Amino acid sequence: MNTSADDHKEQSNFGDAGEDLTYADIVWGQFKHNRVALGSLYAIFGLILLGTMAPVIASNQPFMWELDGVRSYPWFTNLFDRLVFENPVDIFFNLLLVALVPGVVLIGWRVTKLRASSLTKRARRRRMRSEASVLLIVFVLTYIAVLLFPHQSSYTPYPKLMDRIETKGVQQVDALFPIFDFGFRDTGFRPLAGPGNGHLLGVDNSGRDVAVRLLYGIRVSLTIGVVAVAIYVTIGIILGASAGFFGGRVDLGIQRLIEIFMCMPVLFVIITLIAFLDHTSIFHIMVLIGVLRWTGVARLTRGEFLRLRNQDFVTAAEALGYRRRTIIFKQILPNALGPVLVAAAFGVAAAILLESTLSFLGLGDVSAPSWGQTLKEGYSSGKWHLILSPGFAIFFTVSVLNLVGEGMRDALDPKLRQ
Amino acid sequence: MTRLTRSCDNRQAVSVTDPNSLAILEIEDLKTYFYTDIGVARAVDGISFSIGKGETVGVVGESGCGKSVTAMSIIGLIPKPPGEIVGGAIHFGGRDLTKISEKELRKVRGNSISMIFQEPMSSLNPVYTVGDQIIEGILVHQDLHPREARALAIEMLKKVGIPAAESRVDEYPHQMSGGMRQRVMIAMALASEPLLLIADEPTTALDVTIQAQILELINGLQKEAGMSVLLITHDLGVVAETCDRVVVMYAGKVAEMADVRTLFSKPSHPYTGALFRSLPDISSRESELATIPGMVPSAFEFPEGCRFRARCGYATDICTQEPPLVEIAPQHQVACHHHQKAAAEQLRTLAGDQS
Amino acid sequence: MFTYIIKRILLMIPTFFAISLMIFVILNFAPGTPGASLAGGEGSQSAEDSVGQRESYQIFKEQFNLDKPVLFNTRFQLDTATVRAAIGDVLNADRSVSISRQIEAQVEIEDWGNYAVPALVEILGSDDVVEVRSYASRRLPLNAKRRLRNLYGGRSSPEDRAHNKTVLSENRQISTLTFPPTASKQEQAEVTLAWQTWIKKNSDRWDYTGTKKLVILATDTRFFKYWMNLARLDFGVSHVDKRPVLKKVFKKLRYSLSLSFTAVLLIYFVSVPLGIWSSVNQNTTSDRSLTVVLFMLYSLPSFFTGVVLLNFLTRGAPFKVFPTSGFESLDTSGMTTLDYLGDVLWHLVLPIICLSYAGLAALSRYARTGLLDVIRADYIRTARAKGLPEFVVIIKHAARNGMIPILTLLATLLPTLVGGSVVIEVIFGIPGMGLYVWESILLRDYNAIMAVLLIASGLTLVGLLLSDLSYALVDPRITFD
Repeated sequence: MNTSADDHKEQSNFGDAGEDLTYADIVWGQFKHNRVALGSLYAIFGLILLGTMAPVIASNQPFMWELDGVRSYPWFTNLFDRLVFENPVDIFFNLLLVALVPGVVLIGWRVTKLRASSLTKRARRRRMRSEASVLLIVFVLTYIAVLLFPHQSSYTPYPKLMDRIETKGVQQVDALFPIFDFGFRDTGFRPLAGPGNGHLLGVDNSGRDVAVRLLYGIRVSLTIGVVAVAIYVTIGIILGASAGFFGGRVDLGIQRLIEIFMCMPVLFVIITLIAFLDHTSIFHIMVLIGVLRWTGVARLTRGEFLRLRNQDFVTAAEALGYRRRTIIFKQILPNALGPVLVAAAFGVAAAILLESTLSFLGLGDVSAPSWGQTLKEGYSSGKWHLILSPGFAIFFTVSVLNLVGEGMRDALDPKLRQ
Repeated sequence: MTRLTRSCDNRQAVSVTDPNSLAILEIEDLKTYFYTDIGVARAVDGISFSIGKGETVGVVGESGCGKSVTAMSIIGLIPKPPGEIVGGAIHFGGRDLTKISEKELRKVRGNSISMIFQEPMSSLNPVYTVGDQIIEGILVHQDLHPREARALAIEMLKKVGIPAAESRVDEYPHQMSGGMRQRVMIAMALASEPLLLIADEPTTALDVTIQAQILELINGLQKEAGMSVLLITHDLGVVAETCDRVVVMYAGKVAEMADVRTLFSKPSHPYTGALFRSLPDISSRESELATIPGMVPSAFEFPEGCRFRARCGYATDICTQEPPLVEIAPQHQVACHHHQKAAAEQLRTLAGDQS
Repeated sequence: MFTYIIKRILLMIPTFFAISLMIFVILNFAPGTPGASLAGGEGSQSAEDSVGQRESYQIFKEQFNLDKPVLFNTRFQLDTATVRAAIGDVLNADRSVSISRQIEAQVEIEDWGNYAVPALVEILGSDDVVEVRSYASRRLPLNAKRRLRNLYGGRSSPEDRAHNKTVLSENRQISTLTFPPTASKQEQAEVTLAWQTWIKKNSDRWDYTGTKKLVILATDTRFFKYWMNLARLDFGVSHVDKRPVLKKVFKKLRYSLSLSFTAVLLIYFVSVPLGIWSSVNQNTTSDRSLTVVLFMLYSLPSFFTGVVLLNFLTRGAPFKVFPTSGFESLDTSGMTTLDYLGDVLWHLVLPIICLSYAGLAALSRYARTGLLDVIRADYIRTARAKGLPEFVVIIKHAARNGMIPILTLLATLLPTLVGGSVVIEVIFGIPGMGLYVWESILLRDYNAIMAVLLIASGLTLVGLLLSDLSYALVDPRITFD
């Protein structure tokens, strides 16, 4: 048993082996060597940050509104206003935004405190993991609570209000707006105008600012990518692991299933299913992609499980009497996860491509500011600013994800170890 | 050890030690370096020896001593971007193989000098039949009609002892066992009746019984054709069975060179002695296996002076200077400052073994 | 080898069966029936649209027998009480039933069709509530209607047409036998009598013998009819022009196939040499820049390039090199075959490029890595040691082995191509299956959508079979057992 004495630094049994490296550490170290991949990873975090901060950058609600000496802070409550942000995805990111600053402070404090303590690396890790899970649970519970108790308030178009008051000149008004004082839904600008005039990337068909839509579109794309991949990775791992581990008829059955699903042209099937839906939402798309694309992951997992099942460490575990569940989850799965993670990275890129294709065809979620939708307008109108900007956004995100995937693949390859 | 010397004695004396027999291949101060991102690997750093007609010369040493690189240098199969023959000469057929063009070299390869490799399992292309691969080699060098080439291929298969050669010639490598594949390799190599056969660890990947068969086969074919063989191996037992002369390499240089009986009875280089000592001997009373302490130095960082210095029991200050290869007896060369002391002591150990 | 092919083809059948089953499941258990919202009157569609959609859904319903039960049909046991209850729910006289249940009941009675007739007649004759009787009378002509045969698509034979004529006149006759709740007692009695006589006359229709019951149980179901239709390749008609869908799809097939086929050829013919060249010139600057370029191509969405190319090269600002859309020029009558080919090619250059560049990029990289592995193999060293010239070593020995894994990639490439063609066809206006399916979605032509899906799946299967076969052809290590 681990006593607290063991947790604190003592003579390491590893002698000169240096730090106590886990497999993940080694892989991460390899990954860091690859500057391109590392840069891409930072780029992804940047995108996530950008998407989260979207309301800070562009919103038609001011941070602070002072009318005749009375102050209010409409921006904050607006974040959870379901009339404005109908989509739970937006609520998620807004919650993240709110939690960002206190979260960073909290994590920073805990990490520095733990680092300064005399715990060994492994104990530190364990502590950090448990604290992180607590944080995560709190976040998830808050999210569910926010969803269950929707908040709606009357909509006040502050910018217009401000203009009106100022022209009238009767009342004293002061406001602090975000960088762009319009949201992704606000229309009323000159449709199809090119970049300029306060609109960085121009205006789309319906009179909405393109740059802001792209900004909020980050949320849509990333969420669809991550959730769809999460779904199909889970399905794939469960099925693949069962096939690889139990073998026999289970394996044969699952293999047949994989064959069947692999034969289906995914886009066609999704299109067909969407045809039967009256109103596609982001969740439909996420679930559809998730349910159809698990075959790749299942194959990988199956292959890894087949390979690892017969290795000595598994036999040793069985000889020691470990329960099957432990063997699967604690012994084999961590080893099999490598290729799965690589596939996941590529999968997110592919899911984003798929979603933008669907939006481009007009089959996606019409109410979400998807990049594909803007491109569709570019196609029908022929205006360059509507073609190039969303296209580049998609290209950039997909490239960056692919680079991370390749970086992970190289990092996992033992032949390339330095 | 005694067993080995006995097997040497039991072999028929070949007129190999006759200094009048012409050398068909002469390597003169060969240096092959590899230029990589992490430095220069001096894999072969100045070796010289010759191979006479009909002679079997064995090159022994631990992994990483440069024996394979030597062999590959002879037929010019060193991967050219990192590798390069930076010095020395390889005299063959009146030409210096290091100086001729690639086109010329290709005419020599598979023709007058053939090579077989260690892994018969993977050395044959899995998507072509065995016959195709042999015929391909034949057609490149000999002006034969395809039908004649096929007949020759079948004949070669028969020669190497493959039963039912007429049907086997159309089989794929994966349908054959390891031993048979090695025979196919030999057939392929000998189809153009080369003057020299280079065999790079031909039996290491095979079972012991098959090993004996293959060695016997090579031996027989060699005698029949008057061919010379350069046998690269780390197995002293194989050396004892088949070689006429032996070159012991260490860290890219020749440590000792002698005819086989002399080497086995009077090893004069400490490394050679250590090699012999590390052979497990059932009759020995020792309970622990003798090893040579330390490791072969990396080709990137060969030490100054004698490269065996760090692991040698006889090392003194003078060993910081490179020991020259001196001839201490006819056909017996050693590169060691303390060869007399080593020889004497090793002789004593051998005598002790025999008692 | 031959047995292997036969075996694989035979295996295709159960796989196709399984795919169709999957589609059947999706069809029947997907959330939300299309047009359901229309029944409630929602939707921002115009009246015609919703009528059109309703009609399309009706045709679809008929074609896929959605009015019948899924697996087992026990409606021959339908008794008066159940029908009476349903009618009660529909009329909802006491407002005790929710609106959705009302609609549900209405649909139920509709779906019961012929099976409800005896019960309806009984209700007609014996029920107390006049509204109920009136409703029953109004339902009877609808439920007792006989189906016309092969109505659409000009598939009808003379017997069919004669049959349809009689059925039509019959249906017209009974359609008058209804009465509103306000009708006089006499009128009611007349109609009731008429119906009772009518049902006696046609009693054999409702005389369920044992075997008949069994047949109905198993075959008058969605499940059975689905397979029957599939086997007969009966995909129904499009609600747009009432023509058989299958014919339409087949017409479009040649366009899609020429696109995909050329794309596959292009991909393989370019990526293989590219891969070989890359592996031979590994790590040179040109190789590295090529890797970067290929990577970028791989990350570019195909519809983006399509739109860019369309805008840039066809609309005349700045260039007008290629035609804006279509598979061939409008007037092809005066063209020789060569001219025609040239014309088609000119139209297809951009679409094919857009369709194939992603696959090309991916495959080149796989070819490169594959070949790099192969070049390090021992047998390449042997080949060199034999004195073979380098290009023979690379092409004959290395490439042949390196190609094997790439052929299997064809299996993954095909579904992507089939799907990608949708977008490309839409952008460039190629009248293939992809464009057809997209249009069908806009028009809510469900039969067409299902047909295209099934055919696309079938094609993918065939493609996979071909890829497996070619793999077996190329690699002699594959043993067929």
